[in-house]
Amino acid sequence: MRFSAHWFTLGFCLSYAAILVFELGVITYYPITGHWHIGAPLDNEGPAMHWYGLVTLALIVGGVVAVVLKEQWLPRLLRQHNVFIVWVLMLATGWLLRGFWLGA
Amino acid sequence: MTLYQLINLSLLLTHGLVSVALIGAVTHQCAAVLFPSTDKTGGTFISRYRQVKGAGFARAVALLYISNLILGGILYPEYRLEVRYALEEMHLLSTVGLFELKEHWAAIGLALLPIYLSAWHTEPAIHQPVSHRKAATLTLGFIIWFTFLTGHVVNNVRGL
Repeated sequence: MRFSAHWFTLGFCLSYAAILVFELGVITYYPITGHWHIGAPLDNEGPAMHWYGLVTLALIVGGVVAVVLKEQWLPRLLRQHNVFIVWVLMLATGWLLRGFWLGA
Repeated sequence: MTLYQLINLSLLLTHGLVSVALIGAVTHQCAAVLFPSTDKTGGTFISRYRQVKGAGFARAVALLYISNLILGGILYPEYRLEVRYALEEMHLLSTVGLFELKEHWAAIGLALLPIYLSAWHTEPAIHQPVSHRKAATLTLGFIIWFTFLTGHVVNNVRGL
């Protein structure tokens, strides 16, 4: 079983962005009650934390993509400049959080 | 101080200490890829600082990064309940936003780790340009420095 580092980065970044943009927080943790929940967010459980689910899902998607897809199927440009995708995702998260600084 | 508080404090201190080790290792690597030293005689401290064999640091950086992310993940609910509410009550939304950005960028750093490791353990002349190694290392260095400084600032504003 071969693991493609480049496919992992691509799979992780794209799934992370999709989950974040479309608010697909499938796995949620409620720190007050200590409950984990899969599915739509619950009421009366206190503040919800989506970060664990976000990272777990992105790791799973990245891992599956990295094992299933072959390195040579990835365009050469992406193989050589994969770090660029990481930068785009970092900028995108900054943009999505802009309300904290701009009061939007 | 209760046992719970003592455990949290120990975790926070360990989180900070691991961060310092991580910063030291990754900054060495960044210096080595940005300004590789050609001085073979040893020379000045700066020259010796740049002469480190970056490949020897790569696995340690990855291991420290993952360990620190796990430690941060354990402490995160405490931040969510104790610190974030206090920050919001003080109307320090920019600080809350900074921490949100830190959590996302720390996770995105995970996506970078495999290509960073592969860049350091593959011969650049055959498989990839040296610039790929440089880009992955500098990006990881940037994320590590940003998360460290943000954590430090937030902890100064309202600690656990």
